[in-house]
Amino acid sequence: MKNLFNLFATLISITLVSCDYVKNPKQATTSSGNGPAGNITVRKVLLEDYTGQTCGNCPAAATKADEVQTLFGNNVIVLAVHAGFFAEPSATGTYTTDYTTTAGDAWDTFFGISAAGNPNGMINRKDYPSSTHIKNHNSWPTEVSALMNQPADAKLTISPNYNSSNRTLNVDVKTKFLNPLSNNHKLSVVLVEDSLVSPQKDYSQNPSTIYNFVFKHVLRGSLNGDFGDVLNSAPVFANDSITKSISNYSVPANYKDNKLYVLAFIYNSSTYEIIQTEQVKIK
Amino acid sequence: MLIQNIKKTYVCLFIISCIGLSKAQIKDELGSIHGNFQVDAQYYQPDSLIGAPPVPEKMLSNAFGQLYYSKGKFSTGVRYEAYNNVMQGFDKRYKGQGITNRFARYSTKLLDVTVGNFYEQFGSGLILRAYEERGLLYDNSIDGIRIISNPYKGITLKGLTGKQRSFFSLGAGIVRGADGEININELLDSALANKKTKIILGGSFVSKYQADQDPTLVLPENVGASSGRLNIIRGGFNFFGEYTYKINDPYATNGTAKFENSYRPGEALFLSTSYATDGFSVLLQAKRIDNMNFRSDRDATLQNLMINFLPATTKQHTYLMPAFNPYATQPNGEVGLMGEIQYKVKKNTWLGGKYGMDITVNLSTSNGLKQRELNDTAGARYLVSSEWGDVGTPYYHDGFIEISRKFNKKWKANVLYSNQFYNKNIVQFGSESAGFENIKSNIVVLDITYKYKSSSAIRLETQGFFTKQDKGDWAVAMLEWTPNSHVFVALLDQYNYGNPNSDLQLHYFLVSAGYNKDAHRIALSYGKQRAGIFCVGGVCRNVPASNGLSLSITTSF
Repeated sequence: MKNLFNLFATLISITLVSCDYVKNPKQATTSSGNGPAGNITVRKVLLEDYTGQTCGNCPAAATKADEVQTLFGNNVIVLAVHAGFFAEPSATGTYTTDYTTTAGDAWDTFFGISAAGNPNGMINRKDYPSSTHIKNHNSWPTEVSALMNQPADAKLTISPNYNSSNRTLNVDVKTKFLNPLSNNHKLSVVLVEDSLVSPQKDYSQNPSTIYNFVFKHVLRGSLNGDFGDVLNSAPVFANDSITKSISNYSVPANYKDNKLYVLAFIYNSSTYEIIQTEQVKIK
Repeated sequence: MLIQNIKKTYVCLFIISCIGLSKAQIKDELGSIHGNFQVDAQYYQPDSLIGAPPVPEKMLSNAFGQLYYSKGKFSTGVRYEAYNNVMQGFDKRYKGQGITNRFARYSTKLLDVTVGNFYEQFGSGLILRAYEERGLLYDNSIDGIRIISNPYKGITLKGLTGKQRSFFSLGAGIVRGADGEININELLDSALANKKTKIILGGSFVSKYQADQDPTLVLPENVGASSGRLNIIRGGFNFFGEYTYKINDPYATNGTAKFENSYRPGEALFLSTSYATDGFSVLLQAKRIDNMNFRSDRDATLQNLMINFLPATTKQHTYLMPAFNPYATQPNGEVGLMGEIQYKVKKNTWLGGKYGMDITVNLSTSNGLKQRELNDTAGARYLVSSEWGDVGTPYYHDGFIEISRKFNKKWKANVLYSNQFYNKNIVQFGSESAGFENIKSNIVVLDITYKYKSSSAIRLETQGFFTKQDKGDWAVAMLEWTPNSHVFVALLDQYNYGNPNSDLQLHYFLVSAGYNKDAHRIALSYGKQRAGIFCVGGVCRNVPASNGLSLSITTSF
């Protein structure tokens, strides 16, 4: 009996001391996105921000994505996917802009993002299919930081060839594997438009409608199907190279071609985890 | 001949009793098994008018089964869940199937040990409550170890550690907790055993650990909360009070849309007093919640990985229309009050009639806190101050009166009137600037039952929801026929005749029927369900409307 009391007393005293009071919440040193020295190819990280124009809590997530971008520079690539209920355009009123895409809708349904609420996102589509693949924006700095400066298994080279007179886009995407891999992979090539301006609901403001909101890195559509093309069948060896070509894609007239990017990513066909991402401007 | 027969009878009786005895012995040796199963499935049809989207799988289902085995002081159990795929309106992270709960427990008075999944509550739950709500797919069970001990009369000690369930996996953080409760009367039984006043004291400490790898913020890895409570009982009088304090615990969801990650400590006070005597009872409840979001993963949202439970001080209605705009406790800040009086008018009086008449009057209100932003001199924490007694904007109120009276053996009626105020911006979207009007409504319910045979009845429920805001007025009618105690058939129509958009003045019909016998129940329904938006702490989810055929089967043994 005395032993039991002692046990509980010990337990309570252990738990009592386990309290961390934070006086200054700013980290003294921050990680940098400059990557390791030398010519090592770094695995870039894809941050997907699932959002919508009538999601009033989503601008906070966009700000968080900007912070992550500032912190890690070119080693992180942000992609805003407008999908789900809060992205649906209304027929009349303020929020009539449609940023939804068939690929974005398919991803949102497949990964169950908007069904788990907005804002939410994925980092390299890691941890699918466990329930933890959906990452709240508050965790993005931590999640991205954990994947920073890892050596890459593949290198992506995107070579766009855009004819601005007839708005036709041809793209060659070259994948060079840097390590032998035993899995099948797929390649997705999508179009991204930056700096689109239209209304957005923002609960941090009162009134909450922001008429000239700047939407960054918006997914505009896929160039090779909702879930891309098969890239390789296992196994692959170091220095294996595969080039996929997409030809004669006509860029819709309402897309500003000087703000367009081609974004490509390679993912493991069974786990969906992205092993490399790259993006370039089309002109 | 007669003797032979008697002999035979005795032999038979002996054998039967032996069999009976051996069965009982076997049962005792083998212990006992019980459990239950439930399957809910729906076949979906798209309906663009009510906004029901097409469902690629056409049919979705939620199912579970649980088995418990116990023998003497030992018990064990397992639960299997299957979502193929999860039904509309639930989080899609419930996907697939697997064992989601298993435990073994050995329980004696001195030591009661559970390993595996367990549910637990300290006090009123302000500091810790692990529980499940199957219908909502809410389950924050702890997977770990729990020890309960009664080392001395009147003293109960609890200690636990583990991780919480999150869909088919576990949350990132570790939860540790200890709770002690002293029943003064039992402890000092020689002196106080015969005293009318009973006093129970309790205290808890809960701490969680989650690693901080954030490159920009310093986040507390160990967050502790402590709590004290007092319960005084004397005859029909009962007082319960609990206060909880939590140290800095920033989340995406505990600041505002502008400033997330509040480093302000949290606190909560809950008081409840009741008095009950024959035919009369009164209940008074008050609470003040300030920044008491407490989760084992600081990045969890919606209902996931909550460690504590903030009790509601509003009435949960069972009728459809009074529950049309349900209120949920706001963990970031709320002051709530509720008072209720129940009175039974005596039998054989003019008002009470032959059977008496029950009257319930209830008033509840919830307001926000007035929070002022503070300049943080020590660092760059987002902090606010809020003074006690400084009440902010109204979030909700509900004042209702309900009267039920049985007229004779055949007729009985229930009448309810409720006046409600609902701050849609806060309750649904968690933001003052979400841009919706507050909903002020008057609600009436008339529920009449005609019992034409001892176990056969017809019940008619009519309800009206009247408001100038939101979707306007609604009328509801339900006719339910119970031909015997095993069968029911019901027709329901919810008609949004007052919708400001005349295209959306729709009927939501639902036909349902069910059969139950012993512990088995099967129910079928066909019709439409309304859409809704569900938000908790800065994350919102749309629950789409649906149209289709539903089947529900439950059985237990």
